[in-house]
Amino acid sequence: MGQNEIRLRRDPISAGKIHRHQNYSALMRKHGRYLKLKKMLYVLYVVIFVILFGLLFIVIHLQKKQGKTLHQTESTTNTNPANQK
Amino acid sequence: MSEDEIREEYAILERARRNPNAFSALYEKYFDRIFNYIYRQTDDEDLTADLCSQTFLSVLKNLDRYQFRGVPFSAWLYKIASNEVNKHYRNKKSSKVFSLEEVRVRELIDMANEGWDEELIGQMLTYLKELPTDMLEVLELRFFEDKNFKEIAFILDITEGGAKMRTYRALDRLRMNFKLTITYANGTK
Repeated sequence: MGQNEIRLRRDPISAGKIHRHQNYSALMRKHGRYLKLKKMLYVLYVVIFVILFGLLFIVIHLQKKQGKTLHQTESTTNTNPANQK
Repeated sequence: MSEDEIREEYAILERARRNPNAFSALYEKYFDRIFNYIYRQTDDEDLTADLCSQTFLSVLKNLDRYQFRGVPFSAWLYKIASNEVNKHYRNKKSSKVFSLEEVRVRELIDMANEGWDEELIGQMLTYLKELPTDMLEVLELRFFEDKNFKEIAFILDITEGGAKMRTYRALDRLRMNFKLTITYANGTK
């Protein structure tokens, strides 16, 4: 049930007091910082993606290369007449 | 709010999506109302200023996501402000404060009872304290912010029927409490 505190105010808060807290340029500065951070994060994600993609490409390339070398070694050992005896 | 005003606000929002500086017109227009709305739920000027700034910042961040859903833009502002206040109380883990203007409380008494005096105001505060938070929230939006049921439903994320039901139930409870008090007072005399 009720767990709230109810207070009674004789006067509403004055327009002057409210106006003192109104600061659009500060809000814009904060928003500007947020947009900058968002851009930086975006760039960071792109960089991470490129690095990961590059690493994946290198790993696949190395595996293919290794597979080829292994295949070549196997075929040379198979064609060696000494081994066929 | 007229259709022209809603359309005008929407045009400002469209401009603000491309250039956040265009948002200043809406900031100037709604700052007072949002400040008062938050202040009523905190009774702390500095905290209200922080939450108010957080509300407008959140609005700017999510401007791209805003879609017109048949309610004025201000309803979306109130919704974000309400979320900010609730987030604050969740983090603080304390009971919610409702700091009500006496003039409005008198009007509320007039709706639940005929006439008012100091004693009735005191009783009203006691009865309001007994109401659950969701009922106090609808009463605040209905009688202190003059919102219609459609807007209340949007702000509190409930159905329009739900908003009406909550309001009427809250008023019924207040009426019942007043009747009980009056009967008790007459019976003891």
